[in-house]
Amino acid sequence: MTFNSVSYFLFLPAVYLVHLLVPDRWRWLVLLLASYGFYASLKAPYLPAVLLAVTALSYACGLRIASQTDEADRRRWFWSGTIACVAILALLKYLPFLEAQATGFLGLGSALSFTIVSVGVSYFTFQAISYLADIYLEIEEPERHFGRFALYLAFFPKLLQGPIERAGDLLPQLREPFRFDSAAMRAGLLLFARGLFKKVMVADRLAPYADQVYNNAHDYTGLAVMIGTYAYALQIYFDFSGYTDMARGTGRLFGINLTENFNRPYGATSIADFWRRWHISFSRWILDYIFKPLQMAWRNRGQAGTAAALVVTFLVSGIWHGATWGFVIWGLLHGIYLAASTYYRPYQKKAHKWLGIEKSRLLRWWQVFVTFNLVSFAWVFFRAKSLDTACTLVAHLVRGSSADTLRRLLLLSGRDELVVLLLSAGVLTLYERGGLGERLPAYPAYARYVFYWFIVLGILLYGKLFSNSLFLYQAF
Amino acid sequence: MIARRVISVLWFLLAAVTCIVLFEGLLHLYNPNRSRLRNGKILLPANQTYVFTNTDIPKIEKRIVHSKNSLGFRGPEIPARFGEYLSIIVAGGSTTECFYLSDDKTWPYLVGERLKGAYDKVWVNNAGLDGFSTFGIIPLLHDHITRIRPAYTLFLLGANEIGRKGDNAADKDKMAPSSESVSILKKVKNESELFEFARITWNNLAKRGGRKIGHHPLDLQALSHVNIDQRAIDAQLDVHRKAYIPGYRQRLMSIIRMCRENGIRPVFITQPTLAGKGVDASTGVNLETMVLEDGSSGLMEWKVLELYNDTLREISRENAVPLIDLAAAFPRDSRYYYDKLHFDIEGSRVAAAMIGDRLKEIIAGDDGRLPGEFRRGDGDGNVRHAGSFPAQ
Repeated sequence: MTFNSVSYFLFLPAVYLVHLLVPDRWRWLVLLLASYGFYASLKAPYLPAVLLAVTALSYACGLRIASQTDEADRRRWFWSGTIACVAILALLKYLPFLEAQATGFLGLGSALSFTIVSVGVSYFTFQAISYLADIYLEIEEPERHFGRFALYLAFFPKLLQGPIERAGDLLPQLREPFRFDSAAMRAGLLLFARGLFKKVMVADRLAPYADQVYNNAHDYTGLAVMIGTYAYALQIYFDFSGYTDMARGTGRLFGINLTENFNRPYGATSIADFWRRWHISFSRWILDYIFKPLQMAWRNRGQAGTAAALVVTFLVSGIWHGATWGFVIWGLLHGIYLAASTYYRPYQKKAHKWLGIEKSRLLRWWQVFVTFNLVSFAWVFFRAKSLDTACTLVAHLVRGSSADTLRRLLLLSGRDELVVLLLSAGVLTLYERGGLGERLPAYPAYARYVFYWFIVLGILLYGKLFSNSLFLYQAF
Repeated sequence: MIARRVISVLWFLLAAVTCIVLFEGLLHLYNPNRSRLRNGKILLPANQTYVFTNTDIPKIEKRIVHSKNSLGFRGPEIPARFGEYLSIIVAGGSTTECFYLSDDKTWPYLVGERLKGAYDKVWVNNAGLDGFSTFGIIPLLHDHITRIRPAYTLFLLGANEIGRKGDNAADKDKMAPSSESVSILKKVKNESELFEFARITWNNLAKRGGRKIGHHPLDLQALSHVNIDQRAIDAQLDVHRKAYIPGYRQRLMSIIRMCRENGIRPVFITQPTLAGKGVDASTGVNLETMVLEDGSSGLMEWKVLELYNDTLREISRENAVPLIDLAAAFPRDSRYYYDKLHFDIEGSRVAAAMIGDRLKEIIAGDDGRLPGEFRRGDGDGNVRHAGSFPAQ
């Protein structure tokens, strides 16, 4: 069951209704059962068991860390819990890759007789690790109510793709009694609709362009590769931010505010700025739990230590996305971008000041353009099915492409589909950047209702609701 | 308070009506979910994915994923350098479309995979449409296939031609509604895009819910048996010979002409069936005497179908169109069928092997012997000969 499936459109109102009808003290149970049911619907029967194991493990370790007075014991419990979580994640996510590498190297056949699905595992294990770290660092108190703690890890809107919630943000909200608020409900539904709009009107319409180029890498060169890559850059943004909007919208229906994960990332003026705007809950996580400890450990090495910490942090980020060389290179590229910026940034600022262009709009556009292209270049390795494909596409970038190839690519889904795609992107821009979302509540009732109907009917009639497409980040 | 609520509800309904009118207009400009033709043009179900949950037919998958590309066919999108590819489109009815087999289990897909062993670049699309006869295939060819201009188009014909003087329900389903409808309600039903959308959505939901698989398995052991008199069979064949075969011949000639005018090499494939002479190799059931759902015997049904297959054989011979006589070569064994006509996974594999191997011979025979007929651009303004695809 995914957020854009018919079953979810039946599941969500049913859970909401039951949640509304039961007394406050049982609401956590309704949400917990719904969350495990939602997870079980993925038809990988071991996944809810893994979730339960990580929950029990981190719950027990959290209590143990808090109850110890001796620092060595606290550290021991923290590391035991963390290593166990990482081991579970590694076992599910990286075992097939390691096995394939080993059997390939030894020239043997695979011993794995089935595909291991690890949807959601990296999100809840990261959340469990951050919980243990926050208790160890005495930022948070451990949660003593097992059911509520289990819900903190399993809450279904954020289970498959995040946001990765901190204990300090989510647990207090789960303890609060639920109060029905029509304004919150309306806001939640609007957020959900916006996310669905992003997914089925824009992201799924961009997918064929990226798929066509990346699945036929040998046939495309120059501008055609760029079109495919830009299409993917936009597809992954609309897909992932669409999912986050739907998760946040669903959360809001239940009185829970989940973390915002995106803040117009392609408007970033540098790679550092991009990571402050892209997958915010994840970048905060790697910053706090990987980069900062590494930077602290290597502080004696000055700028080189910071640069090395950045490279290692983003290398881990790449590996977190999956066990392929493409993700490793993608992570390394971002690490190198950021590490390089620690060296040139001070000189760049001085140069801009000397030229008197620090506040120039043209400079800002140029920076946005360069950042977007650097990010898009890294997406090539992220999207390509293999390193060979990625290298082919990069090599093809410098070659020319015929007008006929470009025309065929642009009209891949037909002229009408291209018009719908552009119009949908226009509506989203008007809503988000034009401030329509903020101004809407002040509009007369008729105008508001027309807007709501327009979005709902637009999604129903023009959205790719029956395309059976999964959300891209579900794979991570 | 109540008055405010009532006014709010009225605004809500008025907004709904406004948007319905607006979208009815927009859908007339472009309706991405339309699956039938308007104004005599076929509109194919582009970019669709159907997922079926099968609990009825044991010889096919439990979860079937059937997807259509942006052309409305099954298979990969048109590649960038189309001219460099050995391009093939396969047209026909449900035996071709393999509606209840997943994408990678259909015989046209497997033919493509088989050809990839012999040619560098192969592009195969499956334009089969459940229930389609030559009445639907001719506009399909005219409106869609001739625009793509593949090097070869394969036509698996036969079962849907039997007893057809005009377009059948399946052809009509994808064609423009006639102007005979007179009542306003019927006109609204025919013309309203929103109504059409509701119908398709309902069908999609029904398919996704796995509520029905349109085909039914044939339980050979449960069938009764009958011996139909030879004179009755001959009388039946005579009816077909006089009433339907002449029209079928004309339509086949139209297909050949249309293909040749557009530089497409047609290849005909005869229709195999489980019904016919002898006994089923897997169950030992007599395939001649078994009574089928329309009350005819296996033998009678096979003889009628063979009449149409013979017509295809004759037309192929007379017009030098390559023929793949699958009807003659395909084993009459229930392990390859899930009903009397449709291949199961194993049947699809066997059919692909037979068609693929024969097609290789046909293509090899064309190599260099058909001057100009298959010349086409490679997208960069260069022209090359289709007969010289680089072999691996």
